[in-house]
Amino acid sequence: MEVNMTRVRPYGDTLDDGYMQLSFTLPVQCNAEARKAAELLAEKMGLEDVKVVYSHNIADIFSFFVVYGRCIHSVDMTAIEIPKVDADFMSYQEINGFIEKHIARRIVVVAACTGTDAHTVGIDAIINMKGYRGEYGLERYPWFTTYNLGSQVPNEDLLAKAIQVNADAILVSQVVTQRNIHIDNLTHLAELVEAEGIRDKVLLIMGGPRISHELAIELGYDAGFGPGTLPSHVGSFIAQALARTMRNSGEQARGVYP
Amino acid sequence: MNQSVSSAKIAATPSRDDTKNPIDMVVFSGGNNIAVVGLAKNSGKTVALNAIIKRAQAVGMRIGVASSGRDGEKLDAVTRLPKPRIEVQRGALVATAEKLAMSASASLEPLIKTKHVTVLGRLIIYRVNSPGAIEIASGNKASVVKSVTELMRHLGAELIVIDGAAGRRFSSAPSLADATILSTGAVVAPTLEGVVSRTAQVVEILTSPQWSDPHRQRFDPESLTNQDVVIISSGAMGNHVEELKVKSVLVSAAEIIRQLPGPGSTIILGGALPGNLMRDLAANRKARGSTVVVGDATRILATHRDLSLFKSRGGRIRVFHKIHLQAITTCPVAPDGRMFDAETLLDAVAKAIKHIPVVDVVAGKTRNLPGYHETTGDETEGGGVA
Repeated sequence: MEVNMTRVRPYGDTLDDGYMQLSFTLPVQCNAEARKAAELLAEKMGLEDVKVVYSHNIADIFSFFVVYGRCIHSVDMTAIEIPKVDADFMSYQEINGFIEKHIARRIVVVAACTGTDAHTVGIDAIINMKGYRGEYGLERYPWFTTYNLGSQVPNEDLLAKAIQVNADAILVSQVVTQRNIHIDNLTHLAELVEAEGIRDKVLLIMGGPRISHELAIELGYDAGFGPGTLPSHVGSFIAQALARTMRNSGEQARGVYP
Repeated sequence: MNQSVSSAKIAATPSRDDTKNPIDMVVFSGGNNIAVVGLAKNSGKTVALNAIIKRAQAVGMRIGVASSGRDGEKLDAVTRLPKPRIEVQRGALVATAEKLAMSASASLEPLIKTKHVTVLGRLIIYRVNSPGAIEIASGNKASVVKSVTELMRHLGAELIVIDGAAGRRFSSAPSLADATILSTGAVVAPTLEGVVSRTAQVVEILTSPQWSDPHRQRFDPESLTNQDVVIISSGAMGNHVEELKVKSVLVSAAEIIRQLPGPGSTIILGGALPGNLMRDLAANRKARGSTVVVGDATRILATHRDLSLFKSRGGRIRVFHKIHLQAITTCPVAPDGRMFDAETLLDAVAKAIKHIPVVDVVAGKTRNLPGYHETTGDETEGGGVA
């Protein structure tokens, strides 16, 4: 099977047939007119040969549809340039060995779910000892000292803790993203760090299901980790970025705070 | 409902009456570095940036373009909606990352390789050799933005425009920019009233007045760090100046308040002004009528509510270096499809912020220009305060 990377199309039954399935809800009663509306909508979205293969009323005035059809579009994957976290991902042992060799002291990380966000599942997966998907969290790493401040932490408190413990990296988790509230929250933290004049002295890292590295860079963070991130990914990035900073500045990163 | 919204496109009739154009005021202000910052993502920064670039290049100014975020990209990183491109003419200088330069339609010649490496590659100062669109990211830290603008200045840029990143406003700091344009728009709040009041709040903070105390001469704000807090109090024996070394105001707010001798003191902060300090000062009798001084308004990270609470107890906020907010731009469209009437938004913002020119770049309409009394169709007095 040879895929033309300049014209990638959905795979239904055979290569490049363009067939795809989508599901959605319309705020109308489920009847023949509604099924036609679903079909027309799919056509407007660029599907041909549209079949409404399933429809069901899910409340008095809502209907659910599954639609199958051939997408007329293709994408040129060779033209896609996505900024990625710049790190060679290492294992638990490799990370600890790297820190011992290149940094020679424990790396201090302060982490929190900030603002109104109470969903700690992400930050806990990365930080807490038991970790996630068979991997230890950073708390378990002998060469990391971690502080997980929990949820609904004001940005001021997070940064205060980071300054108190001479943190090398600040990890912010944002799960609740309704009305893009996470953007305001993340922006405020970055502004606060810059206003304190310590932006060059600390790694700012964000994570969450709707976080991308691209967004992180735009908001002035050093890295952004999205869904599927493992503790070792974050650990690798922090260790390597810190080693780079220390190399560039020619001095121990420790002691940047009073 | 959506039907009527999408058909209600603005009647774009650009009035090119130069004497009435805030963009001209910015371009010909004599300021070297102009920052364009916004209240949020998609509030119209790039449109304002393009208007400045276009005007400056039309009169043959050698411009430099930098971005403290990422700009000129085809699609928004969050909404995936198309964004305005940045068009530059021959001779312009741009500070951008190596990988972004490769995708530019303008032909770029590298002049200086900086020492700054971003995730999009090394930051390089390019000269534009043939006109076209560019994508810009010039480092997302104040220290890096400062260094690339200085390099462009050495290379002969007469006017440098620094595009802001999302809702970040650090690039409007007087250490980076001589003048600032603030973009606001429908994206900021669901209602017109919401947009206007949030904009007015941000303007109030950004235009915090200069500290004009005789003590001003004694301090070099550039040498103060986040560990420096100075308390000035006046007593029977004259003024007393107490210089404290703290971990940070974020950590040591209680200690600072303990050191206050009494009401009416002046507190100089070398770092940020956070919300908790405002609340703590407001709650303390000893802090009544105190003045808090910071380097510039980008250091003020307390919410408007916390600041108001502090001010209601007689508190004052002052800055060493004032931000010169030269114009506000309004954008009536939000990425989710909501749209206000362009002139209604313009009028409402202009009425709330009378001392600063307000412009809708796309519609080509302006308000609050010094010396002009415009008929806005309602009872506003024009608001022309020079």
